[in-house]
Amino acid sequence: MRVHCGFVLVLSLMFAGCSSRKPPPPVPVAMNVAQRTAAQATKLSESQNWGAAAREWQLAADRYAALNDRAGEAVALHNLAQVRKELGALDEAHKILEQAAKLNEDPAHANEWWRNQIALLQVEALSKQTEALKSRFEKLTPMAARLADSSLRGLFLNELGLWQQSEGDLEKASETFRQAEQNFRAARDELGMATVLANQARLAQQRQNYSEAIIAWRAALTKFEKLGDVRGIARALAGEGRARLSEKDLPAAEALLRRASRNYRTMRAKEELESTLNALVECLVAQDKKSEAESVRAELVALQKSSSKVD
Amino acid sequence: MAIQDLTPQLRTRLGRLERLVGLFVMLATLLLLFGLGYYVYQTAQRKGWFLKKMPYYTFVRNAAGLKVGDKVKLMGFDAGEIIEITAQPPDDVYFNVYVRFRVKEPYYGYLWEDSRAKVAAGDFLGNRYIEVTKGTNGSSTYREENGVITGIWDDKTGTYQPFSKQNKGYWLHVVESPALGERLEKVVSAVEAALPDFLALTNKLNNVLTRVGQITQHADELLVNAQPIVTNFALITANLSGPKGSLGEWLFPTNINLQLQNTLVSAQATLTSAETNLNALSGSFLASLENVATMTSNLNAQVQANGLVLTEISELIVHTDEMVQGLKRHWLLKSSFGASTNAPARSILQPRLGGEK
Repeated sequence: MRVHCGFVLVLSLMFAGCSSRKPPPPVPVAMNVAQRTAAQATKLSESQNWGAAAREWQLAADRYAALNDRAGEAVALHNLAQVRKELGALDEAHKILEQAAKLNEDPAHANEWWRNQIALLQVEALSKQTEALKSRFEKLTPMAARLADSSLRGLFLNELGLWQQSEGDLEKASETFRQAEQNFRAARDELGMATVLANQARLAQQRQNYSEAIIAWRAALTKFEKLGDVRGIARALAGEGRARLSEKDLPAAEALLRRASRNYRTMRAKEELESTLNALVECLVAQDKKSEAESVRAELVALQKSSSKVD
Repeated sequence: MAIQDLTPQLRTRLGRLERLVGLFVMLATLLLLFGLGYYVYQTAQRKGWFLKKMPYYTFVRNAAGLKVGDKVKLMGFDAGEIIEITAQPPDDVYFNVYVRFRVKEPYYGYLWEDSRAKVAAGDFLGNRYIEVTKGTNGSSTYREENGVITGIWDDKTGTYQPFSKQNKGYWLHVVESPALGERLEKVVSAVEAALPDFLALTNKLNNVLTRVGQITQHADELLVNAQPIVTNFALITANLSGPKGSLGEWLFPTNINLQLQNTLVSAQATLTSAETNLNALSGSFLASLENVATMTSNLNAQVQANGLVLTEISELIVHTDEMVQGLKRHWLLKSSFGASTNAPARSILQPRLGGEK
């Protein structure tokens, strides 16, 4: 009896288990083309090929619009705005993000709408549109309590903390960053946590609490290293270097600032390189290394000349 | 709990259930056996296990690209398969490789006395295949009476001899073509041989163009030199219509005569040189054209011989893709493959570092 039952069980399991999924119905060609364009644009954005990415996202937005796929079009426009932001066209990025937000006004796309709003906050902060930023925070802050997505709430709180810091409200900013960190931890968003740590370190530095700043910069550096975030690593190195310079730990500060400036040189980030080199000059002068300070100054002058030529 | 411990009612019910399960298992087994039998029958029909297969053999120079199990073609159909490939003994001065193959029913009926086994290039990888040609004249290779093979044609005696299973079959004469790679090598050699002619041709064309340039230069000089002559002719004709009306006073001056003579000699030499060059050029050009004709003819032969290769490669790729797509959906293997490449795009948003420019 047991043998029979076992046999029947094995047979039924085999028949049920052996069924493979049927081929999915073919996706319409136009939809397939739009999806492929978006996938290609994502790859270009990831490889920081901004010019090509802008063209591809625009094409994806046009294709989604032709299909009347509002959600797809909004995503493509949002990402196009991010690329424009990277290219320095902040006004244009702002305009495109407003378009994307309008497309996402449907309550079913609330999370996407929030992403658009946070991106708008970032663009306004970068382009120093203080009034617009203030009114947007006033509009969004009461609504943020209803945000269910921890990662999104973390992103919003991070922006709010930066705004409060820029307004000189350091106590509030510290609390907001703490909340942002909690939200990112709940969402297991490692990049978010690393960024908040770096922002907290910057805040501690502003409050002249250098030992706390050094600890936070080191923690942020470890996280950025794990993520392979080159920009974050350079930022953490420079930040810790500055904190150690203020602490008068000059040899360590020099080593960190040199590494950070080397990375900025590789990334061709002129403005960050300039400020790091300035800190390095200060560090070298404090150590009485006059000739080395002179050579760094010469590099600074050359950098400023090349910047003015480009301008 | 032992079965004896159960109540009679329970035992009766249990016995009924056992009978039902036994019946179900029997039915399932019968169904399985029936399915297996049907599958075997279908496979046998598809592979021609129940068909008569008659042996044939041939001799080829080289066994490259042929292997046991390869299909034998007849008029594009799979008519049989190769069953044996062996090298001839070293002292055999006539033949190198013995190839035996079977041709299945009804295709052996197409093979007559004048049928041939053609060994043709199969693909670009050096494979070859045997194609037997349909007979047009003479007796059929096997005699069949009431569905029974009774004789095999003997070319020597010109009669049918009794056929037995030990008989190695009928000898089909071979028409062997080299493998595609070998033929491509020949084409490349022909191209290589033709290249110097092409280079010589371009050199000669260059010379001719140079000469033509010189001729035009000379013609220009000639025209410049002829201008005074024309002026003089105009004077002469004017004088001819004048009152004196004769040529006596307007004979050509000596210098013009000499110039004209020199010019004409130079023009004649130039024309002779141009004619020689043109003759040489046309000779070279003709040779090159013949080489090009040979090359295109070779290429045409290749294309004719391998018309189906591209189609087969294309089908192979399509079928491979279908197989991989099928594997991706299989219950056991689908977890080994990643997500779809055309996943919907997500909006990119990263947290901002303070103090960013």
